[in-house]
Amino acid sequence: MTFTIRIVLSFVICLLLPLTTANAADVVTGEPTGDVILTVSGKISAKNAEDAAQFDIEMLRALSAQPVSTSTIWTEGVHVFTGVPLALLLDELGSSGSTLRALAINDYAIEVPVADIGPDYPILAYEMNGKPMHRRDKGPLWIIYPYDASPDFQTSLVYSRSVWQLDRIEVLD
Amino acid sequence: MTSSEQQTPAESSLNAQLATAMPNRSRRVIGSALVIAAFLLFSLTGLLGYRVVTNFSGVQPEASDNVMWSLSQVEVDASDFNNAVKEALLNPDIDFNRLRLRFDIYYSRVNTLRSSAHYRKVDAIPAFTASLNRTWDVLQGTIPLIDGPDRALAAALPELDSQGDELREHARILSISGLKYFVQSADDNRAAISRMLLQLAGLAVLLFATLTALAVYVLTIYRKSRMRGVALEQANKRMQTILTTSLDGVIVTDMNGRVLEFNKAAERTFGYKFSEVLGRPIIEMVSPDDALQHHLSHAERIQNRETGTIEGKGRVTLQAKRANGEIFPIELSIQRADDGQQELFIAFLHDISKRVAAENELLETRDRALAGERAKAEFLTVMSHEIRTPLNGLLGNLTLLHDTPLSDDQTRYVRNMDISGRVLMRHVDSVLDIARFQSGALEFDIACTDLGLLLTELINSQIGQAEQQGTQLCWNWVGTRMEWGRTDRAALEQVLLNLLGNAIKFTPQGSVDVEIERLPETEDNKPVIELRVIDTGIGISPDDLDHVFDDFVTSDTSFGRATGGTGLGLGITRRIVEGLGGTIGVESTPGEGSTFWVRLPMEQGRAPGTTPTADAHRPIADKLTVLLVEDNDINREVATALLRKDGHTVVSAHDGQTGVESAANARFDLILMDIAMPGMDGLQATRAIRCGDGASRNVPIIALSANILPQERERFLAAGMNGFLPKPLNIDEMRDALFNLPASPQRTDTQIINTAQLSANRAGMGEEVFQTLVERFRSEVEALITEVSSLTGDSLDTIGARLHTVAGSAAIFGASRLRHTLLAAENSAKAQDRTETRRLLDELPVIWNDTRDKLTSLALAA
Repeated sequence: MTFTIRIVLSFVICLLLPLTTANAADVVTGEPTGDVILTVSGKISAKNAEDAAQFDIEMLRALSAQPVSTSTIWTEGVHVFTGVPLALLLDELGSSGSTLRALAINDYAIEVPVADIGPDYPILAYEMNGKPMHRRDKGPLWIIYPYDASPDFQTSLVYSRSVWQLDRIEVLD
Repeated sequence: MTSSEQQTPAESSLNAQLATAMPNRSRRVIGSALVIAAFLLFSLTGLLGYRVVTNFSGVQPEASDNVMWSLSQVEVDASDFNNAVKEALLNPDIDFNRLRLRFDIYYSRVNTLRSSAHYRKVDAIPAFTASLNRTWDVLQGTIPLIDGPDRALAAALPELDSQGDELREHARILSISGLKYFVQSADDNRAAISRMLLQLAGLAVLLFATLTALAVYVLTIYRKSRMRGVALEQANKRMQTILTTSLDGVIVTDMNGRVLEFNKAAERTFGYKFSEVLGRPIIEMVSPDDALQHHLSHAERIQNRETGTIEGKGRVTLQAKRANGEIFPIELSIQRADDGQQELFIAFLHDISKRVAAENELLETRDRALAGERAKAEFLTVMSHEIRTPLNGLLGNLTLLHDTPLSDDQTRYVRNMDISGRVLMRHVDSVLDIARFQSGALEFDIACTDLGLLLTELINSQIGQAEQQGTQLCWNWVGTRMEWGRTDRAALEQVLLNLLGNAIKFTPQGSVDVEIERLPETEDNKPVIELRVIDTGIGISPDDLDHVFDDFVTSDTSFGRATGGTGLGLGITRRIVEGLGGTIGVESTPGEGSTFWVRLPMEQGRAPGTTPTADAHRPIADKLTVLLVEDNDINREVATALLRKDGHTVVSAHDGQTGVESAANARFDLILMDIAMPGMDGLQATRAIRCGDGASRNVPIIALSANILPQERERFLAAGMNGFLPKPLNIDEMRDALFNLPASPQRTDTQIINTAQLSANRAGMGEEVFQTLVERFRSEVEALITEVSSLTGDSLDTIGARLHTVAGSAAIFGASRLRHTLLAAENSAKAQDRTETRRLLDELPVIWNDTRDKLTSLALAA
């Protein structure tokens, strides 16, 4: 039930987002000026490179950020993670796929159905406790769910989707 | 349980309920405990089941999978980093970024192992901790090289490579020890789950057992309640049978009188069907219309538990109404009861109309019989009166005739007529006696009697009669003598005379013996005297023996006719004997003779100092003026003649009215008043004289009547008469009555003091005592006069006793007038006639003046 509501809600927000935020073209038309930390490829409409959309940290920061305060099973204590909601990013990119494939720099890969993505979770966190995350501390991007908010986020599946050192996302059919 | 069941049929249903009431409580406790246990077990099982399910389903937060993944990756990351180092060694121109990336990945992984709480658990394995710390130290030491310039890094490559094997070895240790830990932990988990499953199974078994117990319990309760139901049904059936077969009507109502039960007998009695009366107010249906209000209010009082109702009072008789409106009597009893839910009234009743009818019939029969008896007695009284009146005339005229010059023959005829007349009079008296006994008026004058003398005189008086029959007559004592006995001499004489007369009559040429014996036994502490009259006569047949003492029985019709007699003799004799407290009986053998016996209890008497001698010559009253009121010409003539013979002046009146007029016109010394007269009778005339203001309103009035029943005399006195003379007039009785005439205030001077009485008493007490007593008498009377002079109201009614005392004193001094006035006042005081009492008391001072003067002159004259 809750799940269905979430789906419906996500659709509604997906429909509303284009009206309220900066249009996708603004974000992706620019070229990354710093190091590229994320490359999104596959079924997306907005691209700034050959068959992909590349982001540096500044471009991500330009998108509206969302804080998530939670503990994780990999860290000690509660931390405030800040980042771009995945749904928002996909929307900016005009994603039309049904599954995402998230890859880490060590080539860890996991598939995430788009339907499982909420309007505000997970986020692509780039800050922990207000500081950018180093590669040695699972940075620079880490898919974070609000684990403490519900037992639904404390399952093995969710843990496996919490990819740290994220650098690529492929949007699949 | 079984025992109580076995008892149930033997006891009433009420007792059965009480018997099962006791274990009920403990059984209820058991039931509740079972239910609670089942509930607890069920909850525990549910909880445990949930835990098992959640354990299996992985709903519980589970991070171990991820941890294991991370541990296995440490080795990969370490290997990747080592490979990158080796690659850089072989190719000096290589970009060191790849090496740095591998380091960062490796570092990040190890850091994760160090910082996450979930990996901390594996710290329990010492090898793990040691390897982790060693790895961390190496990595920390490597950071300056990695972050340093490429040249320095290139120079350090061989050193890094040399560390590679050690790091990979540590990574392997980490990985293996982590695996070991998780295998162990999985084992523990499995054990925990199997323990839980075992507990669950145990709980399930317990739950099953509890539910089984509960089922057994419920079954037991069901069985028990079924059995109770059966017992109750049996009790109900028995009750119904009792109600149905009861001969008494039984009605059960609630507190408002609405019918709950109405048995067959009640249906028969009232003619209503149970269905017709069920739930309806019974009182309105079965009460007669006129008694309905009374019954309803009484029922309300019963409801309110007021006292004095018929509830619980046993059987009462009421009128009730049938369905067809017929009113009939019932006998009813009402009880209150409680059936455990509400209060009830139970009425038992039955139709008693047949019984009441029978009783009424019996009563009517009895009343008729009594009325018949009364009519008979009345008839006898009237007849005897009617016979005595002309007989009185006859005998009176014979007395007068006897005093006229007669020849010898005439004198004999007159005497014979006189004898016959008196015999006839005796018969009439016998009849009158019967009437008198019937009315219960038997009075005996018990006095000391010389039994021997009585018998001697009796025998002597009958000897003449016996000699005529050729019969010998004698009497004798048997055993110890008791010369003096306290009894009524006249009555005993009559008894013996009757028996003796009969014996002589039926014993021609035989002998009659009278025996008298004091029996050894006593009755009420009184000696019993038996008198036996033994004849050698014809005897009495056994058939007749039983009723010789009944009224109007003669032994043999033909013989009875030959010997004469009314057949009343023995009946009267029996009544007298019974009246004296004795018994009478007879034994007889036909042809040989009879023995009549009489047993009388009588106290032993004492011989008086002097035997009373024959009557002294009767004093004749002073010459009086007499008014004679009598309607019967002959009687009037006889009475007039008798009175004149004694020197009295007689004025006669032939009826009541004339008498009243004569009494009003002149003052007489005495009025003789016949009672039964046509028109105004004697009583009416007396009242007229007493209430009027004629000249003779206060003079003594003496009744003349053949009716001598005691209650009649009361009536005479009540009407204002002063005395009574029975008819026929007897010269002696008449002289007594006139001599003892009640005083009248207007009497002549000579009557103030009866000098004869005075002088007799004076001589008796001696002169000195006499003078003292006269003085005391004076002060006594004067005190009385002062005392009563102002009395009024109630105190006039209570002065009687005081007056009586003084009257007694007056008698001693022959103060007749004073005495009579005092006695008259006493009588009126007793009768509560206050006007008359006051009037008489007011006369006292004048009378006392006269008396005192006379007394003084007489006292001095001595």
